[in-house]
Amino acid sequence: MTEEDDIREEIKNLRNEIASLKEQLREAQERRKEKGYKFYIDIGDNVRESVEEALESVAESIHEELEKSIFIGPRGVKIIKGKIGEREEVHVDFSKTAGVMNALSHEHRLKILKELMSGGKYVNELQEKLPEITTSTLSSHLKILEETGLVVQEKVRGRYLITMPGRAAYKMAIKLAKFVEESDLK
Amino acid sequence: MICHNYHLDNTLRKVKEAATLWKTEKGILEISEDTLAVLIKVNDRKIGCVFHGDGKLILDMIVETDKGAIGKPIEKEIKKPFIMIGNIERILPNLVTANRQDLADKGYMDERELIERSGDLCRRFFGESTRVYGCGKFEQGFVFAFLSDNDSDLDMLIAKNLKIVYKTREITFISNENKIVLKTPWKTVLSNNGRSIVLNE
Repeated sequence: MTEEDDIREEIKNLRNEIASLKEQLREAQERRKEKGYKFYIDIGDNVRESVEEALESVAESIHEELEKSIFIGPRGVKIIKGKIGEREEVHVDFSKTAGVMNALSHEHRLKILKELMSGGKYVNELQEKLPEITTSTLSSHLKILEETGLVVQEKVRGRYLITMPGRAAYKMAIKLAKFVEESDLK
Repeated sequence: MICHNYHLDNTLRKVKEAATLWKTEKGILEISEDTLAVLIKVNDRKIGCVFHGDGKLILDMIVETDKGAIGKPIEKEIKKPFIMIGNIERILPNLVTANRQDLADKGYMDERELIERSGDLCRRFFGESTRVYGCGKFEQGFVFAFLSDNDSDLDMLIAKNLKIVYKTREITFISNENKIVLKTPWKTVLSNNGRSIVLNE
């Protein structure tokens, strides 16, 4: 057999294959027409299995992400907003977090932060707003909040201002407070 | 624009009483008593001073934004000579003649060393030429130039009424009443009456 014969044989096989594919396509279109679809290709069992596997894997991933992204609170299920993928590995400095939690762990300090949420205030203004806290106690609470970075004091005017982390911490405390109120926690 | 020559006054002076050189609701600059003072003159007119002594600079580099306050106050003890340009008339009544003991107390052997040190600082501030370009009005605001911690730069504070510009190698703080820009190596904050943009570097 010459090389030319080989090529001819190969062309013949390819033509047969094309003819077979055309026939399959025609039959498929006929079946689709019967079912009301415009186009259909029989993708074969192997392909179907791999697609099904892929879809199952996607479904599983979605399920896992949803488990991470929903928050079951006392009032039902809440979806946590944000980019799901970014929450996979969370590295936090727990010592710093504990420091902030410690600064928040007093009713008086939470009240001080609440007052500062509406704008910077002098000590005497805070005292007027919070008469239940004595002057010395107020100073010591402000010192703790300042050391943690939740508030900052202007050196010239002396006003106390809530910082960006301070606002975030206060909002977190409010969320926690609502959760505690709505749950059975004591 | 007129070109002038500056020179340093040879008369030894010191601050009689502790004084506040500059004060606004955002910052204070104070000098202690016995601080040595070398006057800077342009055409025999006193335009500024080189101070040698102890001082303190307080600047509230805090930006109030709708998301919370950003920045912190700085409080710097000033131990190195620094330049003040502008509003010199206010400090003149508080200056008295200094003697060699006053120089020795501040670590200077003699008058020549004090003038030389002042000249070095002026050259860093004005440039190598003794010529100063300007319209000659120095009364409306202040310019302060401080040596940075490692002496490599001059930290500048420019102030006029409520307008402040403070610039170091790492920090730029510009404040005009409620309009503030704070640039640090970590973030840039722009605030206009509480509305703000924060850009993390």
